Parts: sequence; C-alpha cells; structure tokens
Amino acid sequence: MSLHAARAIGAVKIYGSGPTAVRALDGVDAEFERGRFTAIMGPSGSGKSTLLHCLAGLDHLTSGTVMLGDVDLGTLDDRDLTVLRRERMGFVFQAFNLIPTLDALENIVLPLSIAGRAPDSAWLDSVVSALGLSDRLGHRPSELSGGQQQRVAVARALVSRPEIVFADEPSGNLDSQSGAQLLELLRRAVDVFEQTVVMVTHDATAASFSDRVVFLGDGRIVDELREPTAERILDRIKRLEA
Amino acid sequence: MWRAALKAAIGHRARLLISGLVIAFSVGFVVATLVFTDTLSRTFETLFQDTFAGFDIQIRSEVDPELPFAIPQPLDEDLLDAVIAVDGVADAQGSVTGFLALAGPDGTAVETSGPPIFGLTWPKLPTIAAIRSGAPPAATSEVAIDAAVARRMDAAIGDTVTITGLGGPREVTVAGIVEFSGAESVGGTVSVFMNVELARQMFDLAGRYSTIEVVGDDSVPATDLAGRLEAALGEEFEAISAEALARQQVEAFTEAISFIRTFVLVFAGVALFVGTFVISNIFRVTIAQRTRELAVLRAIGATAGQIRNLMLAEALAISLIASSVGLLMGVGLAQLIRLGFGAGGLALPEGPLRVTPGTLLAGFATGVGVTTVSALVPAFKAAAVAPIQAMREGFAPPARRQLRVRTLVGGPLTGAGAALLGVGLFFDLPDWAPSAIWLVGAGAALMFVGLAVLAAVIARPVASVLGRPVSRLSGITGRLARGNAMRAPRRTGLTASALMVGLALVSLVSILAESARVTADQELTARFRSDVILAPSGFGGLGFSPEVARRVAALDVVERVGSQRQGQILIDGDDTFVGAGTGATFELIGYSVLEGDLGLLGGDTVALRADRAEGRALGDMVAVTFGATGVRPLELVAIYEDSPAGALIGMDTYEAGFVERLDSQVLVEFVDGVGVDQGRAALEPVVTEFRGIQIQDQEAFRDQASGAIGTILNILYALLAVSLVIGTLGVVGTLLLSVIERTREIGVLRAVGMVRGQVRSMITWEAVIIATFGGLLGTGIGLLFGWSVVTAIGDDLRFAAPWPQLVSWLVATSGLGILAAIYPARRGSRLDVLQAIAYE
Repeated sequence: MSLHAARAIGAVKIYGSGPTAVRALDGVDAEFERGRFTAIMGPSGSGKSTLLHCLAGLDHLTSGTVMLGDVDLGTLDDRDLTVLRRERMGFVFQAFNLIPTLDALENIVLPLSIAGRAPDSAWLDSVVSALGLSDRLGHRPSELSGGQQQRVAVARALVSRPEIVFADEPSGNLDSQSGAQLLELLRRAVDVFEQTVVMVTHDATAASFSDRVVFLGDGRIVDELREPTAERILDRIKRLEA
Repeated sequence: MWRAALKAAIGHRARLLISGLVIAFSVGFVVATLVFTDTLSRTFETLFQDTFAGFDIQIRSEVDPELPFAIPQPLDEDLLDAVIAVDGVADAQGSVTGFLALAGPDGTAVETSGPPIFGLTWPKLPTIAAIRSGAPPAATSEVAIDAAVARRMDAAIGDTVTITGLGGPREVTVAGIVEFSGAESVGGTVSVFMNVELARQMFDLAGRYSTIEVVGDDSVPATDLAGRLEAALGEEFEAISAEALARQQVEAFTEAISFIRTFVLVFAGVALFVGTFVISNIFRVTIAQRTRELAVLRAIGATAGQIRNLMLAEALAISLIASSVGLLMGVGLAQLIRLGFGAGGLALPEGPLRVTPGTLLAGFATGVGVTTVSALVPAFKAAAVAPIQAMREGFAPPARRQLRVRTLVGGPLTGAGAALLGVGLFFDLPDWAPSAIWLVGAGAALMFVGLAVLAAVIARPVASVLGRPVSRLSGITGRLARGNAMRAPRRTGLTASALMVGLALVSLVSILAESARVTADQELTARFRSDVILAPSGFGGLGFSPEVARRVAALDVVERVGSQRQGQILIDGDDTFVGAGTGATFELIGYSVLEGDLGLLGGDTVALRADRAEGRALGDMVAVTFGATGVRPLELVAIYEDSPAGALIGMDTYEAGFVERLDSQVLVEFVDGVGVDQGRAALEPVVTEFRGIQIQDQEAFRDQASGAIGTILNILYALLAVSLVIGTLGVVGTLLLSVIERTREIGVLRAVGMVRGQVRSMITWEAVIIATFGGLLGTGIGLLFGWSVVTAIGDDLRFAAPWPQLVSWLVATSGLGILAAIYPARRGSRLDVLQAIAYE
C-alpha cells in the first residue's frame, strides 16, 4: 500500500492555447499523507482549486500524473473515474452540496444509493452522531441551517469510508461560529476516524485546523508549513507576498 | 434591443428549434386547411367551367333548388324543335346522360371511389372534349372513352369493353380515345361517350333527352335568351346560362365538401390550442435560463418595459421564421391530406395547389398571434426579474399560494366547461342559441383549460403516487426522478396537460368508434335476416342495374329478393336520407318498428324515423319534396327507430318521385334447405356477368362496414398524432428547463459518483412520470367525453370502451416520455461537472 493517499507528479494544467493560454498548474509535485489533514492555500488564480479538481479526477491534467493510492487517474475513462470518486473519495463543496428533493439521511447515503449498496449501519450511526445530526435526519435541506447543511455534506463524504475527502472552501459560506464548528468536525474525523482530508481555502483560520499547509503561487508550490497556527500562516503569507 | 433579441434567439438553438417546430406545426395545420379547401374550390370551378364551356344555355326540367343533386326528369325529344324555333337560338343539341358500370377488355370492373362513371352522348356542339385517336362513336355498338380510363383498363381502339346501364351488360367496341383540352380526364371523372341511340337504350330513355344545350346567335345576351326560352317552353323547364350553371354546381359541391374544411379546421384548432401550452412553457425556460442575464440588464439600467419588449421581440423574431417554415409545411400537408382522402376511398379531383395571399396572411397571423399570446405571461414575468437576482444564486421555491389561486380559477373553469358541454349534449336548444356543436366544442376547450390549471394542483400527489413504483424499480435514480417531477407542480401540470388534450381526443375517437362498432354488430346480428346481400364493389359505387334483382329473383335457389334504393328528400325543409324498397326489403332488413306497419308502404305513404316523426301521429299527412318532381303529400303509416334512413317509402313511390333507377343493395333470401355457400354458387354467374358487384354474407358485410370506419379512424388518428407530437415537444422543453435549473445538482450527483447512464435514467424516468400523468388525465377525460357523447346520442348508440386499445394508447404516451427524454437526458449527462459546481 502506498504511503500517500494521493500524489501529484509534475502536474501541468494549461487552459486555452496560443498567446491567451493560462498555466493554472505549472509543474506541481505534492504528496498528501494518509490520516492527515492538509490545507492548500494561495491567492486567487494561484491554481489551488485546479489542483484539487485534478486530484479528485474532476479535471484532466495537460501533462504529469495524479495518483490516488496506486491508481493513475490519467488512465481512467469517465465511467471509471466516476466509480472511483464514489468508492474512494468524498466531497464537501462550498455550497449547493445537497439534493433538495432528498431528506438529510437520503443525502448522506447518496453515494451508496448511487452505487446500489446498503450503508454499514454501525458506521452510519457513529458518523451521524459524531456530526450531531441524529435528530435532523428526516429534514429536507431547506429545513436545515447552513451549518447543518454543511455537516450533512461532511457526513455524506465520510459515509462510504473513502480513502480521501476533498473539501473546497467548506466554511466559505458559513458564519464564523458555524465555520469553526465545521472545521472542528473535519479535524475530529482525521483524529478519531483517521480520515485523510485535503482542503482548499484562502482563510488562515480555516487552514490552522490542518496538520500541514501547502502554499501555491502562480501554479507552483512556493512553500509549506507544518503544525500551523493562524498567526504563523498569516506571517508566512505576508512573507510570500513581499 | 432588436439585435439583442435576435442574438438571444440564435444563441439558444435547442429552444429555438422546439418552439419553432411547435409554431410551424400550428401554422402548417391552418395553412394546410386553407390551401386544401381553396384548391378544391378552384378545381371544381375549373372542372365545371370546362364542362359547360361548349354552350351558352342548358335547358332541363325544373329541380328543387334545395336538392341541387337531384337528377331532373327527362325531356321529350319534340322539345328540341321548340327550342330551335325560339328567336335568338343559333343551334341546339339534345343530350342523354346517366351513370354506368364499366369493365375493361380483361373483364375487370372499373372501381371508382368518388367521381362516378358517366355515360353521355357525344356532343354535337363544340366542347373541350376532342378525339385524341380513333373516331367519335357512330354506331350503337361503339363508344369513345377518356384517355385516363383507357390507360387504367389497358384498352385500345378496337378493344371490347362492357357497359351496364339500367338493363343487362352490353359489349361494345372502343372507337375513340378522348381528351379534354389536352387533359386525360375531367377532374378524375370517367366519361364514356356514345351515340344518342345507344345512350337511350342504356338509360331507358326512348324518345327523350336528359338535357338540351343551346348556343345563341349573339343577338341577345345569354341571360335574356334564357328568359326568352323559359317563357316559350313553360313553367316546368329551366333555362340556365352556362356561367350560372357552373357557379351553381361549384356552390353545391363546395357546400357538400364543407365538412372537410370544418373537420380539418377543428384539428388545426386543437394543434393551436396544445401549441399555446407548449410555447408558453418554452418561453418560461428562456427566462429561467436567463434570469441572471436579465437581472444584469436590469442592474445596469434597463427598465422593466424594455425587458418585456425584449422578450416579445424575441418571440416575434422566432414566430416570423417559424411561420415561414410552417407555410411550406402547410402546403405539403395539404397535398398529404388530399392523398389521405384518396387512400381513404374519397378521391378528390386533381389540380395544382392554390395558395392565395389570404392564406399567407392567415398563416403569419396565426404564427405571430399564437406566439405573442403564449409569450405574454412569460414576458411580464421576465420584466419582473429584480436586479438583485443578478447577485443571488439559485431559484426561489414555488409559492404555495399560487396553487390555491389555481384551484380557485381552475375549479370554476372546469365546472363552466362541463356545464356548457352538458347543455350542448343533453338539452334541446332554442333557435336563437348557438348550435350544439359549438357549445360542446367551447365546453370541451374550457374544460381542457380548467383542467390544465388544476393539473398543477394535483401534480404533486399524482407524481408522488406514480413515482413510487419507479423509485422501487430503479432505486435512487427513480427516487430523484419522482422528487423532480413533484418539485415544480405547475410545470409538470402544464406539460402533462398538453399531452392530455391529444390523448383525450384519441381516446374519445376510439370510444366513439368502438361504440359504433359494437352497436352495429349487435344490430346486424338482430337485423341481418337475409342470407346474403348484393352490393356494389368499391367504396363509392352508386348502385347497379335493377336487371340484377330481376335475374336473381328468377333463380331456383332464391326464395325472396328485396331491392333497396336511396336518395335525398326534404321534409319540413330538412334534407333527409330516404330509403326505398318493397315489402320483402323491409322484412329482410328488419327495422325496429315502434308504431304502424312497414308492410303498408307504397303509393301515397311514408314511414318516418322516431326523431323525424316527433309531433306527428299515424295517419297524418307529411309534405315530402322530391328534387325532380316537387311536393307530394304522403300519409304516415309507420314509425321506426335505429336506422340511418330518416324516412322510408315504397318502391313505386320512389319511381314516381325520382329519375334514378339504380339499386343500392339487393337482399337475397334462399329457399329452405339451401345453405349460404350453395346459394352463393348459384348467384355467382349473374354477379360475374354484371361485374362490379359483390356477394356479402353477414360477416363480409360487417367487415366492410368496419373497414370503412377503420379508414376514417386512421385519418383521425394521423391528425391527432400531430397534437401528441406537439405535446411531446412540450415534454422536451420542460425537461430541458429541469436540467438547466438543476445544473448544480446534477454536478454534485456526478461528483459524488453518479455515472452518465444514471443521470440519463433519472431524467428519462422524470419524463415517463410526467407523460404518464398526462396520459392518465387524457384517458380519464376521453372516457368522460366519450360516455357523454354516446349518452347524448341516445338509444341509437351503446357505450363501449375498447379497453385494450385505451391501455395501449396510455402505454404509448408513457413511451413518448422516453422519446422526449432522449435529448435532455443526453444534455444532462454530458454536463461538465466542473462548470456545474463552479461558484463564480
């Protein structure tokens, strides 16, 4: 078994061609360790979202390789990638995570339903109670608060015990209290369930919940920080901008 | 603004295509109707102008103007001398005309469907008829035939053909082939020319003429000469100018075929009606798709009015293009309708299609009108888009309040429609009221609109119930499909309604047909008392020589023979279909007599169907108008029910009132102990000799009757199919809207692992749920309408529903859902996941 949950090797992504071409990723090499919480930071246009999308198989690299465990994503077609996503990855987006016609429980088990599998009820119970959703399972998304909706999304990401959870600004649309609560839950997922989490954010406080921060600038990795705190992250950002 | 509208229209190809198609269909239908009927009128005009081109005035016995198709009484040949003696007459000819049966050199009878076979004297006065090859018929053993029928029969000069008039069949030689100003036939009719002697023998008119044609010496105008002739000849004769004659015939024929116009216009109306639903829905798609764009326009300073005009301008642009396409479609469709009637046994005369400026105008007016009306509500909704929506994501959930409004609007509308329908169907209306058919039509339309409004109210629960087996069957995709169908009840309701209209009419038609079939079957079993019936083969055959009945009656195996003839008479000014026969005829047909005795018919007596006898008692005198012979008072001797004939008279009464002598049917009863097969074999030689006659037993008779209904049904279904196609396009539009609105949702589903096939299946199931909803509504309404109409018609018709057929229509409608989902499902499954979930 590979030491890393996911890896990018010489990852290059170019949008468009000719003089208007944009190099969103310009040779990124990065590893994401198992059971750890990694944050990807960088200013707008630094390529952090592109990196996440390529790691998750939602976008294709122009050149280079992305590995999920031992699997080279570049060798898979749309169908295999889709199945891979539902079997081995979890997703939490900034917003619009949930299907409005399904209740909370149905949303949580959605990846399993799509695969035609029954959930492991003991695991489902522990995830649901860890996220404090036990009394909300019959509610539709429109009947939940923003924080509750994002917690349902986290539960959905965890329910299939994926090798890796990708989170794209998960607290971006929440007030600071709900945001902190959500990040705390992701932290606990890493600590308690040994879940691997990769999160894109531009918020230093959010990134401070991680084990390691990777800084991106102009499509390259420009720095890295372990055991981060919000102050150290802001400090590092200032240095990078200088 | 206009450039923006045009660019927007071009920018959304799928939507443009769908709304364009729907508009084009609607326009096409209207244009087809107009082109078809205009062409028909023009063809008739040309036909009759040509027919009457050779003379100035025709003289004939007077015919009641209310019965223009009655054959006038023949003229005495001495009248010709009297005509020539009138001052101003340059020349005159006596003509003998009648209907013939014709068989080619190989013995095969010429079967006509529509225009009959005319036997007529070769004109002495110049006409458009000219000998193409050979010579005019000179001897009583010769004829000249038109080039079209010569080709059809594969007959050449010198070949032998068989003609049958009122006597037995007669073999004659083809002396000449005739053309008409170069054309092979006169509007599809078949003409057999002969000399006066032969014609008189064929039509039993010794010493007589059918008509006399006059050419004036140009000393006075034709109308003056006509007046002078009428004065000289006496009251019982008419002198009509060729021009008036042509006009009269055109009017009579146009009126006779006006049902076709009404018929096709009704379907055009249905197509327009359904189209309005669909176009309106598609414009809602536009707004949903462009809420942001519109909000940005508002934010940078466009007024609500400008947005509204932008939307209307776009609608106008689309409608102008689509109407042009619709015009072309309409012309094509007109040709198809003509072919369809031909295939259905009603051949219409040929001629170039006629497209008038009025038709073009009507086509554009329809397209632009329908589109503008449909776009009006969406345009105002677009104008109501707030600038703030440019900054906001997502869509507001539909407000419940509107559903309550819908109940309050839809309920009374449906009720009012039902009331109108009921009044039209079940009540006798006073003279000042609109006719029942209009009430029924307006009632049905109101009910459809009301139900379309109500459909939104019941869409949620119905979709929920219909979706349950679907979600059981296909798991999460079905579960999502069910949720999506329930989510926008107004849209689901509106879309289903468009299909509802088409299916309701299809169901109604099949129920009426089935009821008619079952009723006819039951009556046939009860009534078919003869062993076999002799009937003309071919759909449009007028009848056959009375000689056939005489020969058949002489056969050993035959116990009794009943001839039947038919015609039109006037009773109380109403056109009435009359049947004539002998005592044997009425016994063998087995009418259900309510009062009196059909055995008393003959001489100055008449029997009336119950509805025609209302207010009369046995023994009353009824004033009956015969077209050729005028009014004759007849004593009412019997009242019956359940028959297409409104009146029955004895054969002698018929012969006194009508000039026609052809039998329309001959009923034959064999002597005891002779089986149908044995009897048939004995009849065979007679039938073979006369040709063009078929022997039908009970089963064959039933098959022919249902075959005729089947053809008409197929035309109806083909026309109704158009409204189902439009309804299906509506489903396509709704699904597209559904996909556009749920782009993000589909993105999330794809991201968390839904494969493309599952997305397609989800969208397809949604379509099936909506289509089935529409199908169920339509079938339900169809049953209700069908039952109402059958009940209103009364005792003559028994209600019967063709359940297997109705179920297969319903299943087919659900299948249309699958068809409709193809494109939207493809589009949904191909969504770029990244774009779908992107925030900015």
